[in-house]
Amino acid sequence: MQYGSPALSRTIDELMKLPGIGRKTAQRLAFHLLKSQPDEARALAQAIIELKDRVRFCRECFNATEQEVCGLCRDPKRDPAMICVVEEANDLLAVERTAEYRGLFHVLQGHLSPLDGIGPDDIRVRELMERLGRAPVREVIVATNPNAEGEATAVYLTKLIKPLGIRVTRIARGLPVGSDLEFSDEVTLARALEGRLEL
Amino acid sequence: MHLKSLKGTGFRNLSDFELEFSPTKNLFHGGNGTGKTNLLEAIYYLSIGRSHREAAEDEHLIQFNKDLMRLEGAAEARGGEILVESALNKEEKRLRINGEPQQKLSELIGRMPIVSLSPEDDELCKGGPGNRRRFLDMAISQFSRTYLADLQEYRRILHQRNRLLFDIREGRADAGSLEVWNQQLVNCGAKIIRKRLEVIDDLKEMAGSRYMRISGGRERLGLRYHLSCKTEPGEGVEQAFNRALASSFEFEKRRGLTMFGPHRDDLEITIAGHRIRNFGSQGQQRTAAIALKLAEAEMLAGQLGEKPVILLDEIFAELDRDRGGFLVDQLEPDYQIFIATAKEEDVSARDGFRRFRVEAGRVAPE
Ligand SMILES: [Zn+2]
Repeated sequence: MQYGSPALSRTIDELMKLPGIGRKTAQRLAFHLLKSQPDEARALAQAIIELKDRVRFCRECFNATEQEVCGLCRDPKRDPAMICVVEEANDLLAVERTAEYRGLFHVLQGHLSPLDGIGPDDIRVRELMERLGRAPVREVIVATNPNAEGEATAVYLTKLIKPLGIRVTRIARGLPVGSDLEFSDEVTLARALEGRLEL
Repeated sequence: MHLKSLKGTGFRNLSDFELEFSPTKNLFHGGNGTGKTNLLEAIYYLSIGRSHREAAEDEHLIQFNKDLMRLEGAAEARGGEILVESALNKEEKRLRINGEPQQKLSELIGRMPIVSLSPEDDELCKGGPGNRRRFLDMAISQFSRTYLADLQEYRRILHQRNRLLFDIREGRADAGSLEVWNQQLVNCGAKIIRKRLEVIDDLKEMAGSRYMRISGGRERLGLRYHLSCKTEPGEGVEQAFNRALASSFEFEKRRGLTMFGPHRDDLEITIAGHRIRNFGSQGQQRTAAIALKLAEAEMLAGQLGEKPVILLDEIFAELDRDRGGFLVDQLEPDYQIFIATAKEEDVSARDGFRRFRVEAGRVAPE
């Protein structure tokens, strides 16, 4: 589409590559940036550049961090024999907000989804298995989202992990059906963590 | 539950309208093609979020030359007053309930329960199994949120599994990865099947007695759920489903499609033991469809603790007058009814109807 300025068109095209942003929203954001103070746009651009330069994924759990190993993994008060598996780093934050959980995490960075061409090799399953081989883990809590893809991922992980003699539990279905972990309120999530089921 | 008012703009051929309804009996009358059926469709759309005419694409609901269709209805329901606003343009669908924008259409289903009887229902007995699955799914979804959520999840699993079958055939994915999706499909599918079986048990009684009364009590209507996978004696749904999937992997892979499950099952309707789809007369088929729809209304009333709105589209006009009269009588008392008919004399002998005259897309109370 032509907007009378190649720079404007390019901004809109780039914004549209972001998840959940269609053409209309991209246009609105681009025009907002155009009207904003110069520092504001520059600060955003700078933040994005630093995000890519400084932030990486934790070598252990694949959470976002500025170090080799993230703060959670280095925290001596956390129980290393317990690993909670989530789909994305923001799901990890949702579980952390409950302040109920004292173990470590593993971020899969996705879920199984044939429709999107995502199989077991495309998410951090191999890394999880390596981790379980290295450290003595007592329990793995599978906290993937309660939808078709999250359930399939949970079933897949259970099949892999159970034969190792590690206890595998699934976060209980106290969550509204079809909802993502990220949007659930802390009370339901805390209750779901308490009532987790053995798989 | 009853619809108190309906306001509309840009809906099919209808001029802007704003109508107040009777909580009991309402009649739209006018010649063919005037738009009286479109009014029923508007009420259905407001309640369910889509047309009851299967072939109707959403965009066809928008008036020719207009960009937008908008409906607004107020109802008195079990949870109190409810205001629904539905808008549709060529790109998107918008829904508000009591002023709150809704992200999911499924939020609407069951809030304003509705049952529609129209000539399209002939397909219920005559048409393919998809018509009967849709009937069951719509009936159950209106009182069970869990069922509706399971259906949506099942559809999602089905898409994923079909895609995986295709990828396996093309050598892009490993056959071993199918197992987790099989398990998902069976678990979710079995929940759907069990609910359908339970509901058919209820419907069987109600539809059977309705059919007897309408047909004069000579024939028996039967309902039976037909599974797409064969069951051995003593075997549960899950086992049969699993076995079918395991034994037809090559077949499914070749086609890239899931061949077993609730999306392939059927509801078998019989008259005196014979399958109505193959052996029923047109009169028997229509009477059976009416009996099923009335049973649906009765079941919804029982499950929800409030009576659904009933839409009657010409259907009794094609039965003889005695039967038509009888049908309206079966629905009394305290169902809110909307009838669309070209034959005014069918109903004019009856009292208590609020009448609306429909002419060339204009609706006016009388
Ligand atoms: Zn870490």
